[in-house]
Amino acid sequence: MRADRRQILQGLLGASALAAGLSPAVGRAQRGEDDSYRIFMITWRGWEDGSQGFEDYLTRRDIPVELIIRDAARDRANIEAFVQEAKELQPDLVYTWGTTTALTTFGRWDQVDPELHITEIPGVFNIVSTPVESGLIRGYDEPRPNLTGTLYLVPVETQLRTIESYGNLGRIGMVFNELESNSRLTVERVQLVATEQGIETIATPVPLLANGTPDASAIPDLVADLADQQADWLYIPPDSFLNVNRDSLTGIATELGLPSFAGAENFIRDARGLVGLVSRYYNVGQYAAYLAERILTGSATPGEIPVRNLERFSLLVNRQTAQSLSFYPPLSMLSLAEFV
Amino acid sequence: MIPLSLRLSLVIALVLLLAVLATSTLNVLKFQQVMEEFEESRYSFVARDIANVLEQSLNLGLPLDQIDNAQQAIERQLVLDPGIASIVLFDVEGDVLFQASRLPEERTRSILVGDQWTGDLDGEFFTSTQIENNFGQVVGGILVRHSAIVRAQRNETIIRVLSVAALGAAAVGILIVWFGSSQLLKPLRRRLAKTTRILDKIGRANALAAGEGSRFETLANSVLSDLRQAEREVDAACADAAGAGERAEARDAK
Amino acid sequence: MNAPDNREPELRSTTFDSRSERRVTGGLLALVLVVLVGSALWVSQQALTIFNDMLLPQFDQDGEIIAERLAVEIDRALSLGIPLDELRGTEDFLESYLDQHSALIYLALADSNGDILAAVGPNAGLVAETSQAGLGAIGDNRLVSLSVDQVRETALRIGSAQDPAAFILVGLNKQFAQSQISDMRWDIVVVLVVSLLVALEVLVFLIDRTIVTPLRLIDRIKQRALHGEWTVRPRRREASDEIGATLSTIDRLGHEVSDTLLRIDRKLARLTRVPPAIAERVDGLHRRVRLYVDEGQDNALQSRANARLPLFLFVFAEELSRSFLPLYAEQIYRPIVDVPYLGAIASALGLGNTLSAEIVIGLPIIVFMAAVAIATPFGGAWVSRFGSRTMFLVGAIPAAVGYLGTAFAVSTYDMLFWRLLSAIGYALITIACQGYLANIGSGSGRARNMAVYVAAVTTAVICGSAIGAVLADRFGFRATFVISAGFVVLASTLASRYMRQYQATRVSAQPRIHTQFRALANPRFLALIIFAAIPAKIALTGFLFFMIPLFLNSIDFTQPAIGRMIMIYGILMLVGTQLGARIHDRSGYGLALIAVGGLLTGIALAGPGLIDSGMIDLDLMIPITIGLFGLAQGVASAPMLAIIPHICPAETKNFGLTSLVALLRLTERIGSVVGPFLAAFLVVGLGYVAAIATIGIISAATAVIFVVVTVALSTRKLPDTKEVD
Repeated sequence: MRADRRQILQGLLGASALAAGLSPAVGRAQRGEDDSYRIFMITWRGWEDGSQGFEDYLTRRDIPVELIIRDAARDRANIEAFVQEAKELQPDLVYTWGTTTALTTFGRWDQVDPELHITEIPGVFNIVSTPVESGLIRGYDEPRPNLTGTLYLVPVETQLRTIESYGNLGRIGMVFNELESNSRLTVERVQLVATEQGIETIATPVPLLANGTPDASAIPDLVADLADQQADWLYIPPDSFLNVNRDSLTGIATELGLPSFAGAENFIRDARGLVGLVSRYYNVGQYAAYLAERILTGSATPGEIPVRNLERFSLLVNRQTAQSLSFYPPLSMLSLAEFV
Repeated sequence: MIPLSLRLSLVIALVLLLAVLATSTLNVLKFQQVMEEFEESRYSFVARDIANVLEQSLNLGLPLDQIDNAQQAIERQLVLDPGIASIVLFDVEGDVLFQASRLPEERTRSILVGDQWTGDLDGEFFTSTQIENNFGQVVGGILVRHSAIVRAQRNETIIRVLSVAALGAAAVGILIVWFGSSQLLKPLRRRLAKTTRILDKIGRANALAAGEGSRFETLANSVLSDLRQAEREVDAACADAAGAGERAEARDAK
Repeated sequence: MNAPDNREPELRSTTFDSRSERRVTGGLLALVLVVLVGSALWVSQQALTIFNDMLLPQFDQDGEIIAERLAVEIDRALSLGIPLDELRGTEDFLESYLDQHSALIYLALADSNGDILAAVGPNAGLVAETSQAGLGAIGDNRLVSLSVDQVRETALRIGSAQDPAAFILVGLNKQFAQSQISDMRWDIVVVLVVSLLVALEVLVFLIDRTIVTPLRLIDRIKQRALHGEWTVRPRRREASDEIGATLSTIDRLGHEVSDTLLRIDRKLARLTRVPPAIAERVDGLHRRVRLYVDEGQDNALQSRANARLPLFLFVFAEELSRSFLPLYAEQIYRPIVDVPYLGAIASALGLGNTLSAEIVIGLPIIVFMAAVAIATPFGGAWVSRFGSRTMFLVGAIPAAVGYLGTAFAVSTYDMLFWRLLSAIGYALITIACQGYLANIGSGSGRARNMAVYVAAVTTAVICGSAIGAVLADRFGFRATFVISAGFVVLASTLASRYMRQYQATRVSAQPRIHTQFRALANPRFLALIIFAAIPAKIALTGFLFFMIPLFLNSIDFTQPAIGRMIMIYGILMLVGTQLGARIHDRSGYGLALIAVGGLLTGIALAGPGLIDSGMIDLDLMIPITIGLFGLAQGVASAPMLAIIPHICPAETKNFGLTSLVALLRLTERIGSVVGPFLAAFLVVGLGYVAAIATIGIISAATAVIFVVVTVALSTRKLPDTKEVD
């Protein structure tokens, strides 16, 4: 029964998987005593969609797994302890959720310490924003011999293409918190890609208060300024500060007739942002489980699996916002869009 | 006696028949090709359309077997085209999720490894497409089974109509060629008939009127009459000799 | 009773002279042409009618499926509360469905009043005229399909009948079947041309067998009788047709004459004493009437047609593979080092890397051409010794074995051996037929015999390449070679039955080449060979035989299309030959015609270079290139021979024109061998288009050099030669 499924999978995965062969798998992935694979899962802030997707996929595929779940509860020190535990337990696979978790468990690719990091047991990381920039892996096509994973941020190129096909993009306006590196990097990236495509950009950082924190009350004026400067769209970078202030940000934009785009769900689902192009954590979790499956069944080693995004993203459109802006997605996008 | 013109027309008829058959075969093949292209594109379109709906649902994180509008999507397409015998949605194991199928299991497997496939199996035609989840993994397939009877009937009709047309054309053509060749060969035949008639008369008494016939015929006539004349003389000589012999015998007997 | 003279002057029947023969053959062919074209048109018309009948329901289904699909999306938009007039990207959306159906001419969205909001498609403008019909007919139905002029329109309503929200209109081209049928017009033209040519060959043969030969026999009997020799043929069945009737009447006459004469002799023999008068009379008769007993050799009369049909069939067999031989070689090609045994030898010789794929693919043509060149002189000698019929049959063996071997070849390398066998067969059979034809008739008749040879070969080239391509497309390369072998068997059966053993005794018919090699000392003759004849062959084998199948295949021409292109070459070559011969006969511009041929080849082969510039359509450029090339080759071919007596009068006197022509034919084969080599090298280095152009440049340049050299030599060294153009 197991052997059958493995053959089918290999058929599905094509020749490269077949070339990897079955025999190395036996050495790599050792089964638990009850004949199931043991997966050591380290999460950052509890059980959420990404981990659920991971589990659901394995369940649906009838892959016998024993999940050993450890939650760091946002504390780095916990992770270090989990790593030692994993080293003792010798599970078949280690799964991590989040950038900090992954870096603490596996280390930077160029600074691996066999004492502190997991170096032998195969690993899959999930929900890491920028695995290359943060030093987890050397490149997207260069996973480590024992570590591969998924990407979940939609590439800026894809985002801009989506805005363009939604329509009416000539000048893009951005408001961001310059204290957050994630946000700053994304804005820079947007400026670069947009310029290449002949799209103008206006990027305005949120002014800081005397205590060094960004001033939330400045947001409406900043958005109004963008509207005055004839921005066609408001681009919302992944930014915790903006996330907190998403209502005022998207609210004022909509009032001013400025359509907004975000790479995170909250701005569309829980505020008045118009369009979002996101990877659902649940889907990314399934993808991570698919990688885990390939590793466990021996059809590929982590080193053979490049780090990739999902092939399809979810397009979210806020129906009310579209209505009040009178700016609906074009027909060919309609069938792809999920209205919220 | 097969007249010359008929002999010629029979051979030409063979060439003509081959040409007409070749022309109609070309037409039939073209027709089948066009029709099959149409069918293929239609059924791929149908299969792809359903797959799109399902992949949309997969994007939402639903597993294939729990997509509630799948049955509806399949039925809607089934109603649209009477040529479709059945549509089957199956998962990566080859298990049918919606709608029944008599398809052998190996075939569903091969669909899952191939990309898209249209072919026939036991006289029925199938068009298939894969369903992929949002990380490009094949999670299932759709199979549109369309009736082979429709295609067979269509082919039968066109072959029948064109065979009749071709044979009709060939028959008419043969008649025309026959008539034409008779006309073309008429002077020759007339001359031949005349020659034969004259040749036939040669050697009969006074058969050849003066001035009738060519040098040869005149010559033949004279040669033959001379020969006969000579034979008669030889016969006479023989008779004489025989008479003389008898007389001699009689004389000897005395 | 003298033995018949084999080479008696050709007797034309007075009853049926060659003009009547041409009239009957021509008339029948015209009739065949009319009937063929008529029936092809009729069959195609019938096909079109039934296509239309059967396509209509298909169109309706397709229209419905597309309309329904569009409706789902529009419906969804409306249900989301998007007002119809605020829908965005409608045209882009509709356009994405255009490639779903090849007959689509428009897709349109109309509002509840039936006003067109968006329309796309090759003939989107038409919807303004046709929409009213569809929308008017829809009534309470949700969906309706109907014909409006040349459009099959499907209209679909979104929303309720009382309060429609929108309409979708799908237009399909009813003329689609027409365009599909006219797609086939070239295939049908090929069928017609081939049928006509086959009919011509068969008719010529048949008229010869059933009319010309019996009439000639009758005439010969009469002629002999006039000379006092009466033909006695074996008694036979009553004849089956008009000529047979005449023949048996004349046979009866012969029998009567001979019977009477023999009876007289018998009776006389019984007489002990023959009266002097009778003896004298019978002696006189014996002087007037001699008997010639024909031992039933009424097939013995020499006829061009006897060699023509077998030759046609044989060359046809060879030409079947013309359009795909390099493709087949490419298909079974493996690097030589990968071939067991051979690879080891090749590596030992250091050949492993020098043999590029292109060269190896060209080798089957090269080997064939070289083998034909080498075998032909031997063939000539053997035909003189063993006779035409024997050599035809002997040649058929390697030819057929070669085709079968090629059919089952495992690699390009063993294929070379099989092609070598076929080449030997080809050389023997063609030279046997030439020998046969050269020995029939005399004087002007013999010149016509060679025209028969050229005609049979050209017809076979035209038919063979086209038919072979279709066969290869249907049954594959290998099966087509098996069919070739079958045709060889058929040809040799006909040859053994109808071709009479003929032993050449006349030396001039089979020129001994080696003594004539001295003619090459004439620089102008040498120039003709090097700068005109060889480049022409290089272009023929390098461009047409080698590159065209590969090139056209690389730009997605189908196999039948490649065959058609080579057929176009054959037809235009024929036209060019006639044209060149006629212009030459009228004006005597031999030199100029050869130059024009070379330059025209250059222009033709530059053609494919224009494709990339987008100035001209590919599907038009290729036939133009190949047609022009055929014309160029044809125009120069006759003058190339006709010019020989002018440029080397002394040699013509010494060796005879025939030997010089044979020498030219032999030496120009160097070009046939070099052609594919050169082409392969050029393709590797430059790619197809530039390689083709380069071959063209070589043709044009050598043509110019030829004219310059010939004119310069004539003014300097042979100032007194007046014949030079």
